[in-house]
Amino acid sequence: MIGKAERGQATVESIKKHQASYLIAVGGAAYLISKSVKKAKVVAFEEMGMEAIYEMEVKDMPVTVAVDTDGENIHKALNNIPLTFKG
Amino acid sequence: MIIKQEHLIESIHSALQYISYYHSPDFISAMVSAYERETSQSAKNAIEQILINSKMCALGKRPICQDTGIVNVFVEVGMSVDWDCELELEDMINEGVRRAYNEPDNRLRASIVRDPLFSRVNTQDNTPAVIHTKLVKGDKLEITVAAKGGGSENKSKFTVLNPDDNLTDWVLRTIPSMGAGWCPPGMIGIGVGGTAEKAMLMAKASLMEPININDIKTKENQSDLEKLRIDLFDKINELGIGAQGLGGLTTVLDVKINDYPTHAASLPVAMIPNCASTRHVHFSLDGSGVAELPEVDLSLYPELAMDVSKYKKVDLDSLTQSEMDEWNIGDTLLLSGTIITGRDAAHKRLKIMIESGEGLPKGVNFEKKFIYYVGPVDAVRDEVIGPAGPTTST
Repeated sequence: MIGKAERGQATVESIKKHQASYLIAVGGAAYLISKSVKKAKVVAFEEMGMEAIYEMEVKDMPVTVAVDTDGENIHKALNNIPLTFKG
Repeated sequence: MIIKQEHLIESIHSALQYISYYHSPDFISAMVSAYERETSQSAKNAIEQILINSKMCALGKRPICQDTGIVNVFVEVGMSVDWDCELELEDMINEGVRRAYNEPDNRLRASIVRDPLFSRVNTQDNTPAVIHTKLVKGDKLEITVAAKGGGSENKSKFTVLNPDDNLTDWVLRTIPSMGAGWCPPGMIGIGVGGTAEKAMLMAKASLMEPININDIKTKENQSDLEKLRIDLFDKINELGIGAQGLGGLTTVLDVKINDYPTHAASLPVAMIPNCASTRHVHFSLDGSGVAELPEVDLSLYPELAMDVSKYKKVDLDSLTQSEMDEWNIGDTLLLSGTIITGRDAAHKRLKIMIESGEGLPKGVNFEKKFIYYVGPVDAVRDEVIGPAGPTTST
């Protein structure tokens, strides 16, 4: 999976179980990222506009590993910020 | 002064085109200084990409973000204005939105659905805008146009505190719960007082103001509200959420607060984040013609280029499990090969198809493929695809 921001705990566990990875691209770098797309075609749900499914061929698309196959999570710190913080 | 219908429509059209590809100078400067200060390498890489993207968009006149937003318009109408128009105010504004989002040379993404609880059918032209009108003295129109991304709007918060509750505590408790889907670094707008809807509106309006936290920090005789802004700004950044939730020094570039008298028993508080694609512009119409929008100074951008030697090249078409097992969080990769996209509505539809036994649609094969959560902007000119950044995947 390639997306943006943190995943829920259940998803992180599922990623670990299935030995998958979750990669993040930078939200706010849309035009930069689009330049790494070399081919794109709609393969399903064309009528849904921006929600259509595309197959894309990318070249050097920049991403960061956010959850690895061991279930380590780069956004873990977000979950560990104390909810009773006193300012 | 006489305001002509076509002047208003064309001004809205050009303002929306303008903000789709230009960050405001205050925002660029604040992002550059966040970049220079940043010590977390992952966060610095993210801010670097945001700045490179921003400059590319300014040069290429294409959207900063694939989510070209829901249009928010704040209109101050001088009570002495005369009108030369057939349409009512909101219809003129929506005609400007329609023209802007269907502009052939820079088509923007239509993201608005009607019938929000049921059919959620796309309106195709990004109308209608959300419009707030105020009558003021004078004979001019003062208009602020913004295009607000869904990722940040979705993290909006509202509460009614007890009058003796501590606002800072609530903010610092609430911001971590918003995660990184609002695309920090950005801004936080807070509205305090009035009533529930007034607080929300003040929070949104506060985000239309330029970034000035550093001016406030160095000024003498700060007001109570300014001191509170500085305190919140420092403490939110100390939470260490950072760019894209990757840790680091900068989560917010500014904290804005607007307030209003309220009921003795109440302390309504609204908080709305604005993302790394904060987009808004202000203009006046005095009857003399279409709005003139500020020139953009490209020298605000530092010379930046991604240092690809820091990234690991990955061939997705021959990727093995053991290769993937070697990746660690924080590793930066350059992906090449085939990926499949899909976002919210596609996931929902796929789930229904799989559960009903129908299976995946013809031509869609997810086996050993990465799925990219994205809803791109349509291509224009010689593009393969329009801007295509990630959507919130929480």
